[in-house]
Order: sequence, then C-alpha cells, then structure tokens
Amino acid sequence: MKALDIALKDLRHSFTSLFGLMFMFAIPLLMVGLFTVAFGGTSTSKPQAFSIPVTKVVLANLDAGDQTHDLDPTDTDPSTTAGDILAHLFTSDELTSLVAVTTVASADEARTAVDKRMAEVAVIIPPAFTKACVEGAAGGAVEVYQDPTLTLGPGIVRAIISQSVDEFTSVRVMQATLTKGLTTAGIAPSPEKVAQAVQRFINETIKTQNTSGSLEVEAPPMKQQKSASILATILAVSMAGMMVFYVFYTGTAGAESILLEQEQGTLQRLFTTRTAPTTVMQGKMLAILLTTIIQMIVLMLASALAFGIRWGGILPIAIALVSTGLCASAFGIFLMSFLKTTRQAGVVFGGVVTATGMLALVSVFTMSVPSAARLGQQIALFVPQGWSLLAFRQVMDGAPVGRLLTSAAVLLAWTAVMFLIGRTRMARRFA
Amino acid sequence: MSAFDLMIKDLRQILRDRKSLMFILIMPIAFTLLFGFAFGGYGSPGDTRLQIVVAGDSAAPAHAALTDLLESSTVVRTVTPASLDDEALRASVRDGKVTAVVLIPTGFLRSCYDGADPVLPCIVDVASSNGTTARSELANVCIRLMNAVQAARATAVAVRDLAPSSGPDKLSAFTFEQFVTAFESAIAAWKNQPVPVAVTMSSKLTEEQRNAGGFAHTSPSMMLQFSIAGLMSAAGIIVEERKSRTLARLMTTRLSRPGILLGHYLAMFTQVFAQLVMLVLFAALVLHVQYLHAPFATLLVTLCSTAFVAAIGLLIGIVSRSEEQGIAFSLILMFVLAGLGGAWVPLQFTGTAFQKLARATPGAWIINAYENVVQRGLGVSSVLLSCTLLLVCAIALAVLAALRFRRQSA
Repeated sequence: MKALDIALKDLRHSFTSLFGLMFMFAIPLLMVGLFTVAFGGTSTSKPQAFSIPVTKVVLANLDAGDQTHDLDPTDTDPSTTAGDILAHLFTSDELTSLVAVTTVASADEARTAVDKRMAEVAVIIPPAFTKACVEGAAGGAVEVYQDPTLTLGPGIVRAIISQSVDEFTSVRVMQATLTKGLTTAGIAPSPEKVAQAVQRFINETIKTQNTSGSLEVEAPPMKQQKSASILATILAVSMAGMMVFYVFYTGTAGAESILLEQEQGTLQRLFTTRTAPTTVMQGKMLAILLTTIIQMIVLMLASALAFGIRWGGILPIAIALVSTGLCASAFGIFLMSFLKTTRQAGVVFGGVVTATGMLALVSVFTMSVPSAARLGQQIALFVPQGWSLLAFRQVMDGAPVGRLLTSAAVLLAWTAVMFLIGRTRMARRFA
Repeated sequence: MSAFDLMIKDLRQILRDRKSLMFILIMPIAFTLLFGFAFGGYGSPGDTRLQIVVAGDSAAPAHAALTDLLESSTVVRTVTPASLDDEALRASVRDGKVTAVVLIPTGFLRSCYDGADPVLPCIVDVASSNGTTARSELANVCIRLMNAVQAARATAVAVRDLAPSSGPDKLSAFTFEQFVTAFESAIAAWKNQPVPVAVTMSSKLTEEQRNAGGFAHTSPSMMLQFSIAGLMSAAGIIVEERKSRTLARLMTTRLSRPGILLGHYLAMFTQVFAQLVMLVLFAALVLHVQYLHAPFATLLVTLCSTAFVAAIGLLIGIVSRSEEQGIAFSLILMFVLAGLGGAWVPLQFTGTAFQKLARATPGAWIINAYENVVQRGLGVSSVLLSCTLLLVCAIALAVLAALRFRRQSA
C-alpha cells in the first residue's frame, strides 16, 4: 500500500510538470510531425503521396544524328535523332513530377549551371548518341554531370536515360538475334524482310510494355493484410523510434526523483518511518512503469489519429508496451544507482540516454540507404532501446507472436539484470 | 574581475567535469565512425547490394538468363537460399534475410514459345525502401528478359515466314530448341551492350578524396549535432550560478552585466571551437575528410559555426530555470537543428517544400558550407554566404540573451 502511495505521489509530480509533459508527449509528436512534412504527407495518404523531390536538370542535346532511317515514325520529321527522343522524354508531362528540365546549347553551359548550383544534374547528350543507339558504336554514352553530394536525383536521371537507351538496345538485340537465327536456319534475309520483322517487333514491344515488366508483385506472408506504403513505414518506424527514445528518457528522469529526494532530504525522512527501502524502490519503480506506459498509450493514440499510424493488434501491443515500460524503468534505476547528485544526472541524460537512444535510432536515420539500415538494425540490438524498437516494429509488421515474445524475453532479461544491479547498489547506499 | 577571468573560471569548471568530455569528444567521434560505417565507410564495406533469390528450376534457360542479366546489377545480387521450399522462401523475405524472391514458373520459356505471356511472381515488401529499390531493379531486368523472349519470337515468326514450307504447320520450321537458342543469343547480346551513361562530378576533388570512405557527410553532421549537445555543461554553469546566487554576487563586483554575458559567451565559444577543431583534425587526419584542402574556408566555417552555437548556449543558459531545462533545451535544439539540417536524413531524400524550409535553417547552412569544402572541393568564396547568415543569427541570439538577462537582473 505504501509503495502505491509513493507511486501515486511521483505520478502526480510527473503529470503536473508542464515541462515534463512537453518532453513526454509534445516533442516526440513534433519530431514525427517534422518527418511527416519532410516526406510529404500522412500514412493515410495514398501510397504515391510519398514526396520525391523534383530534380533540377539542365540538358544539352549535342546529338548529330546521321541515322539511316526514321527513328520516330510517329512524327513528321524524319531527321528526329535519338537525342531528340531522349530530350523529349525528359520534358514530357509524365516526368514533370520527377525532373524540371532547362535546355541549353552547349556542354559547358550545362556544366556551369551545376557548378553554380542552379541545377543539380546536367545531362549532356553526345554527338555520337544516335550512332551509339542505332549501331551500338562506342563513344555514345550520355554524360551525367552532377553535384557530388546528391545520389537520389542523379539516380533517377540515370534510370530515365537507361530506360530510353534500353528501347534502342532492344531493337539492336532483336536485329542481331534475328540475323543469327535466320543464318542458323540457312536463310539469307533481305534487308526489307529484316526491316519488316523489326517493325513488327517494335509494335509488339510497345503494345505489351508496362513499367513492371512481367513481374507480379506479392507481399510476403503476415504483411499481406497491410495496405502499407513506404511513407506509412517511414512514419510508423520514426514514431516507434521517437517513442522508445523518449520513454527511456522518461524512465531515467523518473528515477532521478530518487536523487532529488535524497538531496532535498525527503528520502531520509521517509526512511525514519517504518517504510523499508525495498518498498520505496518498489513504489519508485511502479511510478516509472505507470508513467512510461501512460506515455506510450497516449503517444500511440495521438499518432494513430494525427498520422494514421497502424500499431497492430491489442495483445502484441500489450506485450511490447509492458516489456518496454519495465525495461525503461529498470534502465532509469540502473543508471541512477551509479550517481550521487542530480548534477551528475546531466551527463547521464546527455551522454548515456542520448547515446544509447541514438544507437537504437541508427536504423531509423539510415532508412534511406538500405544497406546502412540493415547494419543499423543489427547495431541497435546492442542496447535495450533497440530491442524495444524491434518489438514495436514486429507488432506493426504483424510478425508471429513467437518472434515478438523472443524480443520481449530479451527486454525482460535486460530489465532483470539492470534492476538487480540498480536495486543492490541503491540498497547498499541506503543501508 | 574581467570577462576574461570569468571565461577562465567557466572553462576550468567544464574541464573539471571530465564526464562532459564524453559528449564533447567521444560521442561525436563514435557516432561519426558508426554512421560513416553504416553509410559505407572504411573504403570497402563489402558487397552492399540487396540480396535476392531467383527460385525455380535452376536448370531452366530462363533461370540462367535472369541470373546472367542480374550479374551486372549494381543494386541487387543473387544468393543461394538455405531452402528452396516455397514457404521458407516467402518467410525469408518476411524476416528480411533476403529482399526479394523471383520465382521462375516451370515451363516458363515453353509457355513463351507457345505464345503466352507468363508472369514472374516476385515476393517483395514494397512498403520498405529496400523492397521498392529491389522491385524497381528487377522490373528493369525483367523487361530485358521479356525483350529477349520477344526477339526470339520475332525470329521464330521470321523463320516461319521466310523458310521454305515444310508442311501444313509452318511453325515447325522453328523448333522449341531453336527458340531457346535465339533467346539465349538475345540474352548474350543484352549482356554485351556498352554502358549508356558516364557519370562525372562537379568537384575539384578526386572520387577517393570526395567520399573519404563515406565520412564526408557524417563528419559535418555529427559535428553540428554534438556541438549543440556539448552546450549542456556550459549552459548548466549559468543556471547553477543563478541557483547558488553566485550570479547575484557577481553583479556586485565591478564586472558589468554585458561583461558577465561576454565572459560566459567566450567560455562557450572556446569550448565549442576547441571541440570543432579537434573533430575537424580527427576527421582530416584519421578519416581523410578533405577539411585541410581549403584550410581558410574550413577555419571560417568553424569560427562562424562556433559563434552561432555558442550564442545558442548563452540563450539556453539565460532562459533555463533548472539544469534539467537546460539539458532539455539543448537536446530539443540538437534534434531540431540537426534534423532540419539534414544530419540524419540527407535533405535530398525529403520533399521539395521541406527542403526549401530546411535550407533556411542554420543547421543546413553549416552542413552545406562544410560540404562545399570537403565534397565540392571549393574555397573561401563558397562559404561566405553561409558564414554571414550564421553570424547574423549569432548576433540575433546574443541580443535576445542580453535582453532576457537584463530583464532577469532588473
């Protein structure tokens, strides 16, 4: 009963501090709000709402053409070059959401625009581009001159060029295959017949082509119920990351009340009553546990409403929530057992909590680079926050309960070890 | 007592607290190494391409063709799975062991020969960035695969049309075996195409200098983040002085109010400058980030960044009522300025509107100015605008701190 009284007193203190409330609720939501704005929408938006920035491109088409036949029968100009077709593709309505293109007359002008940061990428189509496309001649590679700090925009530009060049290549490949096939069959083809076959091939290719080729995408098991988009994943993982980061912060701040009460003398007065130090510790632990659980519930509800984040089923959430709450509480008591004054606590907040929290968040920060994110997920498992984040990600992904229970078991193991060390050190101090 | 004496006193206090060295020096170095490694630091971090599995009959020509076409991919690489069982393959994608599995259906090429357009089932989580990247690359490669099928078909039709009649069914002029040969010939032709794009950079540095093993972005980013985090102890000194009434006693001395502020500001400036210089030297000498390529530009950015960060520290110290508030303000500002500046997620990955907003914040100016030196290979003139803006902000923050201090001490 006394433990409950201590817990209620601490809870009242936590939830009447405006500053504490801001740190528990406002800041994590603000940070995810920042991510929402950064990536252009909420997870309830359509999948394509993920905002890919428009890349500023400056294009110099120096293609000399010199082709033997009309490359684009759909227009009236027989002198249309492969460079014209590529330039037209860049300026087409289909790509306005990806690239903003300005045309210049020379390669130098294009490069200067990038050097002066007026454009992010320069596309320089060489004089031999048509020759390269039609005959496969060397020296026809398109130059992509880019700002060295960028990867995404230039990557999109390269993909557009590659796709366009692939269309010409497919015709060349077809011609080579046809000639070889006919020769093998002992047939000497006339140029007209080859031209007819090529035309038929082009018509068929255009008819059947779509952006995914022949791929039929299926979601992996347990993710099939989700209509998730990349944006939804980014926001959900960011929210889980921020929640875990600040819950462990709350756990440590809650445990700091032990030092504060010790400095103010109230703890010593409490020990003069018949309250055992173990009861005090239980009360403190209970207060931190309840505070962190309330914090997580509020953050989950608020983020579900504000950002449309789907957290998963009630039972898996409860498992992740309770194990995280327990671990955050034990983490706080463990850290505080090494400190003597609240002044030292500053170093713990700034150093240990921030450092371990950021280790857990490495995978969130590196989401944009797949290989880095994979490594980040492994690094995160060296700290309890990483396991907590993993548990919430498993809940959101609808992973099997067995896998979630493994993460919860690891969290509980962390909890047991940290609580035992913390309690022993505290008991020794107050003996 | 002068402002200089106060500065010395503050610096002694900071140095006495050796634990603060942890987040002034050790943490930024550790996180620079960590993020640098995650983003492919240390030169060659191994094969970072996404792992995919091509499943189905491995003896089938389509299987070999797809594997061949994927060989030249810079995005994905094929791996051999532990089990070829359908459920195990699907689970391996769910568990993140591989990014995608492409299944070549039995008799895929025979169906193509018969005129059908069979699909290639691909198990991939398109809600993840890995999944989307792999899907996009696989789609491109599959277009080439299907183009090879169409080339073989077109060859079959041409042979049928041009070959002498061999009975009522002219298609027999081109057997399935010949179709496979034509398909394989097309795949071989696809593999031998010249590279369509040549990439060049707007930089005066070589590729090795520019990338510095992946640290060229993480080093300035972590410097920004932890220079703000490092303010916790320095700002805490002002709070502690106020709480212990040392500040009130200071005001009874001949040291003026601006002098007190100047003393504290100089201490913070010295701390942040020393921190940044040590981090710059570490990154330049150990990680080979090109800060020393244009030393004056680096020094100018470091001085202006220091002026700005120290001004933030002064304001935090003045407005914070307790040490906890000081810590919280430092952490919030660290997160907001580093996040907006692109320290964690480079701004190129964010939306256009966000980029415009973020580029108007001091964090972005600092990172951009350093990147002008270490990645673009530019000199002093390239950092002048950022430096001017940082100084203007520093002055504005210092004025705010002075006004607040005057009201507090009135």
